[in-house]
Amino acid sequence: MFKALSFVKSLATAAGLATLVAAGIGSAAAADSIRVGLQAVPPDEVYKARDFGAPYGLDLELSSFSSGSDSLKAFLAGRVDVANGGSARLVTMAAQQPDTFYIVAANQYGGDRYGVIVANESTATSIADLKGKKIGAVTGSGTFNTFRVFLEQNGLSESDFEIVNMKVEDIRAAVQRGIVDAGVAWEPHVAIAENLGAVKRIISMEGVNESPNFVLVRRSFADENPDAVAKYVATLIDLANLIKTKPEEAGQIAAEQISQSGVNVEPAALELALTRIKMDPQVTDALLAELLPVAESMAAAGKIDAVPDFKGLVRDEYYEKARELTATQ
Amino acid sequence: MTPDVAEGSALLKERVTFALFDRAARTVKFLLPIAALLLVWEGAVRAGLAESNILPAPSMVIARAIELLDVTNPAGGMLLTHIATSLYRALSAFAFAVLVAIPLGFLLGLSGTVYRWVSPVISLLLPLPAVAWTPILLVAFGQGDVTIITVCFLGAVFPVLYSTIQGVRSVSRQSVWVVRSMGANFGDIFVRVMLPATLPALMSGLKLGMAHAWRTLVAAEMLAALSSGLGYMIFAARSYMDVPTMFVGIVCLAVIGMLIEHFLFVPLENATTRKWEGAIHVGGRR
Repeated sequence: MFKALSFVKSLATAAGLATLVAAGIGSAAAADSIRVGLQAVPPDEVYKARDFGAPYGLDLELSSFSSGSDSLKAFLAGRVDVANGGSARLVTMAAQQPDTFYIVAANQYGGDRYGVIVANESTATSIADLKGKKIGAVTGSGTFNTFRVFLEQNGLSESDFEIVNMKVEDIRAAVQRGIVDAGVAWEPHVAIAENLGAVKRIISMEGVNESPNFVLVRRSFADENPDAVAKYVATLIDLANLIKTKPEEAGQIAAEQISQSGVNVEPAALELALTRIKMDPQVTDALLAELLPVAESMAAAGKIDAVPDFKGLVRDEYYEKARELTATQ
Repeated sequence: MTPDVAEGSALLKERVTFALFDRAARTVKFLLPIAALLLVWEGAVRAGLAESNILPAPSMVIARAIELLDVTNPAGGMLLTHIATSLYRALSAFAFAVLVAIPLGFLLGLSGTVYRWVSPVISLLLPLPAVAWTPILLVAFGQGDVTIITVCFLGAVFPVLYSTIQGVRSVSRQSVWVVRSMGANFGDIFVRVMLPATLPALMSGLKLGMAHAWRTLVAAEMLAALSSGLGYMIFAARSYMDVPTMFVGIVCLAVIGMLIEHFLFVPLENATTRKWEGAIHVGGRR
């Protein structure tokens, strides 16, 4: 009798322990969290507005930065686990600190997000019409690099124009007021300027290149929290799907999110901008290949010692796991 | 009521009416040039001399300000949040600057040895624009209040410090000797000689310090604010070409700067320097 009682007691204790362990595991799974660095761009505004992590039990701690550079500084300082970087900065990081991060997704790319704008009354309809004219641009930016490739493809070069370096926010007003004859800008600046009725877009850089940004994750974080990273990539897939299938809704969401800071922007302008930005997070060889010419020119200029092995930095498994996760939703 | 009391009451009423009339006249005189400027501006935009999406008319700016203050719309009340955040940051920075600069200023003003050691460092730091520290502080503290308040503190501390030092050093030794010969201790000398004599310079330093903190704030918030503040609002509005909101931010900065001067420093001056000057003119006060 005593033995039977003791057995029951042991069973109860074991069951209790098992419950506690299970609860512990459950809470650990539910406690997946990740610190994400974002910027003031329409896709990130959509991301901020909705809790994309909720379906996956992922707590998203979002921090907004005024530029990609600030976001990457925070990433390097360990204040965020995830950030996204454009070509030149990514190449520098890959060359100098390859052991600190993985590339887990692509983010915000496509030549259509770059455009050439002119004043409404301008008669120019092609780049050839602007030969010898003043063009406002952010020299040194990814947009300007794409523009240079575009010029080469059209048998032109920078020297055929008078390039005026300016901030992207100032290009619209400069074009409108005739300070420059045309401007090269990126989204959402082009779409907002068009929506204001101040300028018209005459050239899209669609097909010139994709000029991709990539999502970077700190290695130490990814190695310790593989599930959190996969879930985060799943949220990017969901974001891309929302923007691709419901751009109008995404534009509205972004406009409402921006209005939270007291800023008024037309949803239609953001919708137009979002339709020009590719968001599919899959890292393809074609996207990675675009880093090579950038790295080669930086190596030739002595900015980096050697061209980094970008493929070695890519971790596809998070994207594959993320696809499975989104399929179950 | 006796005729004397009635006459006194009428005289008082007349004086109050005159004072009110005088104040109203001064307010109108102050506002008139501003109203004229706004009218010209409005007229220029309406006449098509300026494009409204580059230079919005004052009526558009006012309409946008009302939208931002209207709690019934989605962004309602946001302007008040931005203003409150900016005020908190600027006033905190100013308060820290005062707490550090005034004691340090007295120490440097009173001790020639400490002054000789520290003044080269102050001379080196004084011409540095506070905003220049922002990239370094961003690396150290990241974005947020710590960086912004520290930058504003650096903007405010040097004018207050410098003015305090100058004020203390301008106190004549003879005044101190005279009071000391009458048996005053250090506390008496400080409270009755040093402090009143230093106040005019100190007051100028405080005004300059606050103005520097307020000006620095905008630039610091543009670079280091995460989600709120007038500088942040202007920067965010610029990113999305929302020109009327940018103007709302700029107008708020100007008006709040003026109100701080009016409601913080004018009463402070009235309670200290002007009162004491009056006392001296009447015949002095111990």
